[in-house]
Amino acid sequence: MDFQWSEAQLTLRNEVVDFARCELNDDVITRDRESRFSKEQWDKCARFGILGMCFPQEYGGQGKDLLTTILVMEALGYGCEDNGLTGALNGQMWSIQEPILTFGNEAQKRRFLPGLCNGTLLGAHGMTEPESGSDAFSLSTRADKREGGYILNGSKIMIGLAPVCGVALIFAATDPSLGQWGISAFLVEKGTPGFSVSQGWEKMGLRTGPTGELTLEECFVAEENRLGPEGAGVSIFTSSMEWERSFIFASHVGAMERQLEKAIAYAKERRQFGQSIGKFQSVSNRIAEMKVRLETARLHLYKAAWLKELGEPAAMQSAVTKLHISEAYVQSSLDAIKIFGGKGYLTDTGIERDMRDATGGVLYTGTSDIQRVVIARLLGLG
Amino acid sequence: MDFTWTEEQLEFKKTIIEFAQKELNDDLLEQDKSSSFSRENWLKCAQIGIQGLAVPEEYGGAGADLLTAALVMEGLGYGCRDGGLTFGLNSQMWSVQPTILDFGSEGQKQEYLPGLCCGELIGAYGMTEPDSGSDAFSLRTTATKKDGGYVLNGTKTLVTFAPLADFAIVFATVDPELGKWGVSTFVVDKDTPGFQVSRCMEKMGLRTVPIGELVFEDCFIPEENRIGPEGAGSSIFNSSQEWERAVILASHLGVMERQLEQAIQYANDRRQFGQSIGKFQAVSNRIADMKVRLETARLLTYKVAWLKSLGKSVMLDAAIAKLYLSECFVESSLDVIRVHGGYGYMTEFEVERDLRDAIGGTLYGGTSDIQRNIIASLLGL
Repeated sequence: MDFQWSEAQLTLRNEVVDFARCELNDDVITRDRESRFSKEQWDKCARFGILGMCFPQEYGGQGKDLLTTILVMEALGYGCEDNGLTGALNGQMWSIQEPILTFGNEAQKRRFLPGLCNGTLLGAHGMTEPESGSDAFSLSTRADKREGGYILNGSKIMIGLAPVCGVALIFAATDPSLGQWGISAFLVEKGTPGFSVSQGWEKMGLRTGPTGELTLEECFVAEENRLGPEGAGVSIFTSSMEWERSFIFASHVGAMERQLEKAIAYAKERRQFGQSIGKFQSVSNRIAEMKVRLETARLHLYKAAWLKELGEPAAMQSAVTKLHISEAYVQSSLDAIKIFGGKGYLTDTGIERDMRDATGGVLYTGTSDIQRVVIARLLGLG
Repeated sequence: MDFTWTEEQLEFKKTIIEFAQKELNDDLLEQDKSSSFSRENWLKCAQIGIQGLAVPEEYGGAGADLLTAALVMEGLGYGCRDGGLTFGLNSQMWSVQPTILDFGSEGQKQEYLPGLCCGELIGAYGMTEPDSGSDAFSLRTTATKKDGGYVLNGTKTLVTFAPLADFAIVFATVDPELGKWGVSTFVVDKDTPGFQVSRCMEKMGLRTVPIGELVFEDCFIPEENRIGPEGAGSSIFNSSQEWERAVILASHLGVMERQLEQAIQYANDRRQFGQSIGKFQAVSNRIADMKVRLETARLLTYKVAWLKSLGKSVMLDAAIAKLYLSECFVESSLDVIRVHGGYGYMTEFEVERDLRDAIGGTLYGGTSDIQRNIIASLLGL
């Protein structure tokens, strides 16, 4: 048992914090108000090596281990106040790049990974449909076999990066009679006839990362764009969910540290009733609980990274990690607003945005309800 | 970053679990009901090496590192269903013993540690007074300098093992005007004239370990019974509190794992409305949350033990771990009762006792309120 980071890891962490603070925090409030995605900042992150951090160098990545990568993503969330951006980066890394690396053939890896790592290609993960959310495998998108490929028909909604994606990972039934075992995964590229994307949907938070709809109408996808064998959709989805649940919140942990520091600074500086409000236990207890949640969230994240780095099964740890961090971030965001009082409620202070961003976290990648279902099932219940 | 335990550590934990399951679980309902302490079980624990786990071999201990000790105590909590006994052991191990080991003279270490490790001696730790609890350094017990020693006057209350301790570590002020800097630490043997202990005070839980008062009336103790220099009491107390907060609750991890298994088994066995109650999400969600809290508590405990084993200051981490672990043990104990329904409330089913035991954990070693104060003050508030 050893909780030590190496000097090299900590140095890299500090570089990431500096990079994020210098390069990523301009106009966040305006971009949030306008729901504007910044491709410029996406590219800066790509150039810094964020997107390719734990991907092999032969596919355009940095070849770092997972623990280092997690520390980097945490640092990014700490330095970068744009949670929509960090959320979108994490979404692509863990739900697009990882499945391609794990299940893609050599040609697919060479075709997609370098572009995803260097920022020229954006990827969307298309699972959710109007009628299938938590019950993901009840999807109705179809992939009918034709010579040399498949005809896809269906609609995918609430898809991160959908409006700007260059490639989408689409789950569709190749044989609906097989239920979940008839689901297959496809990499559908922008420009494919019959494949269209919607505009960004207006939403509560995470506004700088566009979310929208992918529509497939008689869309022919060549066989070489199928990811993994026919019927492997469940395995690919389950695997990508394990990655996502483990790490998509790495940057949120950094964001929680940022919130905590802001809360402390404000509680010391703000005076009421003749003293700093931090001297009132109602305020200081709240901050103490924020600290407890931050440290526990961190340890779950690191443990998940350690397990995945060893290639150990992490279904339980990933569900525990996702549930704990996402709920902790909501609570922490609410606490930060309470400490700032009415000012925390004002958009220009930049405090309330975290709360709006955090709320998404208890929903995507499987709601908190679903994480509890996963945990209970793994404990042998139900 | 590495979360691996060695084979030896895991083997050690397993040995202790088997020992505890076999040797420590008889007659618990009766012992709890009659608030009786089992010296026999205490000695069995000493024989297998619990009390001396983290004490160096030269003083009769096993010299285990703190991470191993924490894991072994977790195993003890898992195997032993007597929450009072594990509390008593932890209390002596992480408050009395480190005080002597870290601040005692060579003579004091030789005199007390081997006896504590082998179970012959039981030590009490006297800080709390009727009018000083969380505000510990406002204590009123005085130690007045006399030829070759001190005369102690005062009362210590809520002291674990007070009724049967062979000696007590006692905090008293040599100069009330100096405030906390006048507080000094003494070791007082059972038969010292002027030193009396009360009967056992009845309490909600942890009943198999006696708690009571220490009373000092013109009690003379020689200078060599002072631990550390005059005025070192607050440093000694803070240091032992750090130990206590860091590891006293490690056994709770084991108990929470046992509770979780109990809850899962009952939820699978018990049928209502035509199906196992574990199929109802109201029940399974509660159990899922128990699992999340257990794993979270584990990570905090291991981290603080790791930090402390490196000799680092763990004030902040220990307060976080103590706060989280004690509160989540209460929550877990309440949840396991809920899963068992009315049966969980019946003493005979041995589910409700854990909750009574757990509530003590949010009070001793500094209340949850005090842990939050510490965390806030270390965050600069």
